[in-house]
Amino acid sequence: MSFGTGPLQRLRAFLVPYTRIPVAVVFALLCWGGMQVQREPDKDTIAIIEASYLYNIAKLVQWTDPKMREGPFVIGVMGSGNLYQELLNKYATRTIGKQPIEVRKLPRAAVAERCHILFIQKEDRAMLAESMKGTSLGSTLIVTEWPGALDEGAVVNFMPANKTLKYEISLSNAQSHRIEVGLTLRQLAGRVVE
Amino acid sequence: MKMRTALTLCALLLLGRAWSQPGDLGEANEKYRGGDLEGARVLLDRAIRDPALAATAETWVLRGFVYKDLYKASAKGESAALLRDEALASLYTALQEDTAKQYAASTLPAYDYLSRTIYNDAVHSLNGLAADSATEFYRKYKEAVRRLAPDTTFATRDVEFGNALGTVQVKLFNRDRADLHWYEEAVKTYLAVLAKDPGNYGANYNLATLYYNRGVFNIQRIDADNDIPSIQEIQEASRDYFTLALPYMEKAHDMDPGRKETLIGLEGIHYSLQDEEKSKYYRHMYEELKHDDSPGKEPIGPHAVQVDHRATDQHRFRPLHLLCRAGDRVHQQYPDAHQGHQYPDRNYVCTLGGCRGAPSESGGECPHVGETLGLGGKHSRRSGKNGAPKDLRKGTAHAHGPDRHPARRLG
Repeated sequence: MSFGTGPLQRLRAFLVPYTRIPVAVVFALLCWGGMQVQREPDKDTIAIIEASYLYNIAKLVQWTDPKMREGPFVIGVMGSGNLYQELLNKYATRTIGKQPIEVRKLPRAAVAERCHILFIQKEDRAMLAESMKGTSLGSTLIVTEWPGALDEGAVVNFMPANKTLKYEISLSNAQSHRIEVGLTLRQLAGRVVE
Repeated sequence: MKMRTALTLCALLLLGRAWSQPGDLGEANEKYRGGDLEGARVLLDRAIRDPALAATAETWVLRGFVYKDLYKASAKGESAALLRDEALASLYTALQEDTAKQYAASTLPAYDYLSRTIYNDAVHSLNGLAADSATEFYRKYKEAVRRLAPDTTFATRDVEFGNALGTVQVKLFNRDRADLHWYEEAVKTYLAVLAKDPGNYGANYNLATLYYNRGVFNIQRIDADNDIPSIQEIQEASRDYFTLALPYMEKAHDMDPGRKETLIGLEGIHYSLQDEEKSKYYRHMYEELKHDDSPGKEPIGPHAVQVDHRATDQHRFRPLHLLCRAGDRVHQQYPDAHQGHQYPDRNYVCTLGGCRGAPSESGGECPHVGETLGLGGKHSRRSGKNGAPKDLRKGTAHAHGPDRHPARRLG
């Protein structure tokens, strides 16, 4: 039985060049994929809570830079597909003041876009330092989720407290990003760093 | 004139009563044999109001079988359940009255059959997600069984039924999670199962999942209207559910560490309790198990119970025998008959309509009434030796093809 020039043969011809991908690369990809297990979005309780916090934080801070009060209110998300989805599903149609919220999924790279809020997940913590080197984060409120992130320049950092998720704030980092933190946000924080 | 009319009426009434009461049983039997169940029922309902008839097992046996057949012929529903209740009550009374255990071989299987149908109704209700009626049927089933055998234990069946009921209640809760009624019912059900069988894997796992999902559901409802204090309140409430879930999931995992669903469950619970380290640990175990490709165990699915296939009305009956009583027409014919006297070693068959005078094996004549008799036995249909019905000979029990009704078989 011959396959001739049928669709199977064409498919085979198309696939052959890709069979030369080094085995090590495939293995590395598989391993990486195994570590990055995607949780079901509706069961990702942390992502749901973080999204809600981000929206409330956006309402409780002021950007002193006049340019930040124009155009859409941009929330950039690096990593955490579930957080991005949650923001899109529940908050993307809302506004902060008169600015409509725009949620952007950012690539895993140094941030070069203007964002009002930038969330960096812990797996991408290296990107915080990279991004801080540039000038694009001048008035960006950086939100993170790993211990010690305030020391690395984050303004708000999510942290576990008594088996729930809370946040800590660095007022000095906020100031350096020309952000005024409202009293309510400070009072409700798990920890405030002057 | 008026006085004479009144006296006549009274006399007729008394005569009618005297005539009808003993005759009701025989007539009811005739109707039963003829397939007129409704007619038989009317007569038997009247018969049980007569103290003399109500004190005899025969009345209750026949009434039990009539109601049983009415139940079987009726469409399922509330009225059918009432017929079955009557049948069970009658059969139970028959067993109580039947101190000589003369009819036990017939009434016990009939009672057993009917009680099993209650259990099967509970199962059908579960299949139809009618949790409340399933619970009620199951309660009635146990009540029916315990009425006869008070020491019966239902531990195994309670666990089996409880798990299935819990599955249904969870399904009902999942239809509308804002309504907590079915959530609370499901929790109660699983806790009851665990009280009987703390090591029940399914109940541990399902209760843990129920608590966990409840906590997750609270968080899922967070939206743009929630401010920071309410987010924290919701988290605290959910944390309590996750904390409740944890020991049950751990127990299920300890019982069967090779199951993937408990690893996923523990991973999820610890994740929601902000315990990243333990969450990763169980995720890692899950991944190892996944890559291991060992013969996977099927994830635990919804629990279900099967109908009791033994609930078939195919039990064998011993022939029904009735004892003669004072007031029977046979007594009117043969006044020297002993009330309630039985001659099991004879082949004479008397009916309530009168002694048929069948010759005995020894060639004698019908000694007297008060003889052992089959309900509605007739010479004309006998096929045994010397014309005696095979069923009655030597008091042996026989099974007779499709006709499982003792009285009809005797005819």
